[in-house]
Amino acid sequence: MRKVLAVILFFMVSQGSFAQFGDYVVIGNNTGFKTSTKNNAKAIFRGKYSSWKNGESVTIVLPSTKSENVVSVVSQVYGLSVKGMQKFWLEQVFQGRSNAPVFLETDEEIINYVKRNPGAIGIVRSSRSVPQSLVIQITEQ
Amino acid sequence: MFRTISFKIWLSFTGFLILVFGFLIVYFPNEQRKALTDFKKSELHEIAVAVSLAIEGSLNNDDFISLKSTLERTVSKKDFEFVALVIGEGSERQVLVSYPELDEKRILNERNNEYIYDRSPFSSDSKDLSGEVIISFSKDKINKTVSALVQPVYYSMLLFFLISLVIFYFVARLISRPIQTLIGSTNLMKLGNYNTPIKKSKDKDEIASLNNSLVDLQLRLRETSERNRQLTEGLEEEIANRTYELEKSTNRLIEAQRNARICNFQVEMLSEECSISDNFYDILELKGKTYNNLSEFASLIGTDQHAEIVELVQSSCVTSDSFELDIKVDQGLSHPVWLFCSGKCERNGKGEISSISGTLQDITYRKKIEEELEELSLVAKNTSNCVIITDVNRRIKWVNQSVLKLTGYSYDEIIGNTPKMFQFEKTDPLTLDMIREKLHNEEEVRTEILNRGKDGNEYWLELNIVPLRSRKGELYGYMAVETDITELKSTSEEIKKINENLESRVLENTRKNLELSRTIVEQEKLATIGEISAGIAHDLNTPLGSAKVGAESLQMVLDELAEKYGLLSQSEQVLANEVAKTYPSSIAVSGMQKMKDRLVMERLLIDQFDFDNELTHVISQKLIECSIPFAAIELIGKILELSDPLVFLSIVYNLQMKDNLLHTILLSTERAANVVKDVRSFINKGVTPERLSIDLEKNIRVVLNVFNHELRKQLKLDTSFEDGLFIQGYDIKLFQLWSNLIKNAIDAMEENSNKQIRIETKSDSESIIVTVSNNGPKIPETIQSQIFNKFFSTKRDKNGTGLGLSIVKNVVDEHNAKISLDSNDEWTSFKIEFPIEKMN
Repeated sequence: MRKVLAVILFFMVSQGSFAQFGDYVVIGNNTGFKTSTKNNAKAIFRGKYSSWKNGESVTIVLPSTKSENVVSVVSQVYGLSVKGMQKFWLEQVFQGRSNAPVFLETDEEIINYVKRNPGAIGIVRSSRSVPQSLVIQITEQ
Repeated sequence: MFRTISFKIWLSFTGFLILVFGFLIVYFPNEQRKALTDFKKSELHEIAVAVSLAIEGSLNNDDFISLKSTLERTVSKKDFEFVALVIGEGSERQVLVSYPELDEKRILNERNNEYIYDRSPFSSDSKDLSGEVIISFSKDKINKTVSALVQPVYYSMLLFFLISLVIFYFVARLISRPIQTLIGSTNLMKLGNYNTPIKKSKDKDEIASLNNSLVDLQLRLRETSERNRQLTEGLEEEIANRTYELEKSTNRLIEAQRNARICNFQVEMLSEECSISDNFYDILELKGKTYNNLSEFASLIGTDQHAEIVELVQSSCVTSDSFELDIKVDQGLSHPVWLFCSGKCERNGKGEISSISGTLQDITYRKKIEEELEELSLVAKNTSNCVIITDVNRRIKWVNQSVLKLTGYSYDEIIGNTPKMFQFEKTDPLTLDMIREKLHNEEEVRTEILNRGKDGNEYWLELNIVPLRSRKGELYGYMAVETDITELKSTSEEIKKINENLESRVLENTRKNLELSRTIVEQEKLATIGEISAGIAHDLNTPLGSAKVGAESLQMVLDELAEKYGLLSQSEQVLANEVAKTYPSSIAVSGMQKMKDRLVMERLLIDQFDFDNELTHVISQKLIECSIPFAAIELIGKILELSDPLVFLSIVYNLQMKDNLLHTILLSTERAANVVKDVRSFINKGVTPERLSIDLEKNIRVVLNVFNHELRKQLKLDTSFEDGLFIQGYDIKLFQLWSNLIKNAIDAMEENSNKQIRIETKSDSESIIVTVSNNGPKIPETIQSQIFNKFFSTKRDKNGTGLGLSIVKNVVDEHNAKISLDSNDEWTSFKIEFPIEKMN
């Protein structure tokens, strides 16, 4: 797993260009990296990894179904409807493929959660004031 | 063992235990399985509910962490077959996710009996995502769990079962011990031992009661046993006595059967097996044989009787009556045996004929008697002789036809009367008295008697009266056999005269035959002489010829002497006679020897007497002819000094020749006389032989001399005479004996090229044996016993009279000797043995 992450990071550094999920920014706490490709970020949010290379457990933090921006986030990240996303995570959790995601209603709750939980990675609207230390740069490639 | 009480008790306990354990073995796992299944179902349901709630929580409250936690606590740590989320309804049902990942068909196939299922529905608040949680558990796991649960229980139960078996065994033994003790006591009592102590029990249970009853029973049995023992002893004694009597009876019966020649038999109808007592084999003299089958018995009986026997037996079987018949057993036996067979068919319980049994009795003797009686009866009835049978009082009981015919009386007229009815005044009273006396003494009577018939006809009877006795010897009557001899009586005188005439004629003919026989014997002898006369003539001619030649030579010698004898002086004549007497001439000196002697004599004359002139050769020759030896030097000198030695020596030679010729003539005439003497001895007709001590060799040699000429004709004669053998006998007859044997031998070898005759005499302690053998052909064995018969001859075509060997036999018999013949392919020998005690 560590080798994979190393390859990813090397790939991200070598690209030199950054991108965002529309109006959303990816934040993370002690994930061991600051930049990521879009696809990789999607893969992370799809529960591809369960721990980071520094040993921290991966905790995905997403807007809850009651959140106003859940539809757009799910659409951006998963390319699914909310219901589809729920099915997705039922499968993932049921089969134990990845850790259960944390759904929070507001961006502030997401930011605070990420701040407090090392290894957590979330997505919030870029309009929100997000500490720079949490931001993970997303590149296209 | 399996019938013992302890076993039965043990078996009852064990059976009960097996039932209990069997029930537990079946019931316990089932209940376990059921309980576990219920528990699992309950657990499944609870889990299903918990999961569905957790799912609803995650869908409605976005609480996937609780869902994960719920799943980690329930599903992932249990041995479920699968947990699945199924969404949709009816035919649109689909498996959203399952743990572990399985084929959708397997999850949705809830009819699979291998699993138990439980489900719990979930639904989001918005109802846009609903379904159910399906959770499944394998029944096999339940079973394995149950097995794992019950296995130690089973082991415990098995251990408990085995321990129980052992405990039950001892418990059963303990329970059955009093009963076993009672059984032991009972068995001892059963064996007659009533004295085994049995303790009375004070307990009140059933066994104690039984024990006490047994004690009472033992007491009573002891008393009964004593009574039985006494009774048994009495019975045994009675049985022993009866057995002894029975054995005696059986032995007597067997002995009686053996004496009566009876045997038992039994024939099984189905198997045709036969059993028969040993007497059968004794009767038929078939010792060592055994017949076990009907066909074997049937083989002893002639096939002509089979049909009759079978018919009789079948008839008997039908009527169930016994059968009797006489059987003649004559197959494979040295003589036929008659058996009286009586028997009966035996039936089995079903009424079928199972066997035939009965007895066989040897009636051969009875049959023989019956046959004889039948024959006698026929004889008595049909004989031309009269037969009368009376009782002891001489009352007539039976007469045959001949009596009726002879007497003219009817049968009824005669029966009941006595034989006196046939007698009349002419019947000799002395004869009647004699008959009466003999009958009184119960003796047999043989006599002649004159009787008279009804019509007054008189007839003579030759009467033979025999007393009739029973087996016990008691007189029960008389039987008279009478022969009509009337005609015989009337012709007896005439027959007597004819007999006398015949006797005289027989005597005359016998005398003539004897004379003729004697003549034939003499003729035989003369024929022999005739046959050997040529030889005798030769034997006579030879010495007579010698005598004639000698006489003629003597005449010549005497003539010469008469001519020259006067030329000698008287002294020379004396000397000449002396020299002739002193030195007889030897004729048997060979010419070669004479020549040698003459040369020696010449040398002697020259050397000794200086006599060497023209006469030396002639004189030396004459000296040698006159047999004057070389040593007679003085005589030779005298002869040489004579005036004419040649004349002197010639006269001496003639004198020597005269003596020689005279001696030869004497010898020849003597030999001729001997030949004549032998022939005369051989013929010796009319001389009555006298029994003398005879020199056997000399006697045989006389005959050999007679046959000298025959024997020298291409025949080799070997003789071997033991010295000093003498026999007492008749020399003339012995001549006949030897001459006939020799003549027989010569004739027998007529066709032989190498003829040989051997004559040997020898003696042993008992006899003097003479053997005359020839190498002629073998005498056939068929005629060996006839060759000594008078007039038996194998040389009829060669004028054989057939008397030669009969004469030999007669002579041998007259000397109490024995003659035997041994003839084979090489030699034919007649051996005559003269008894030595007859010798002097």
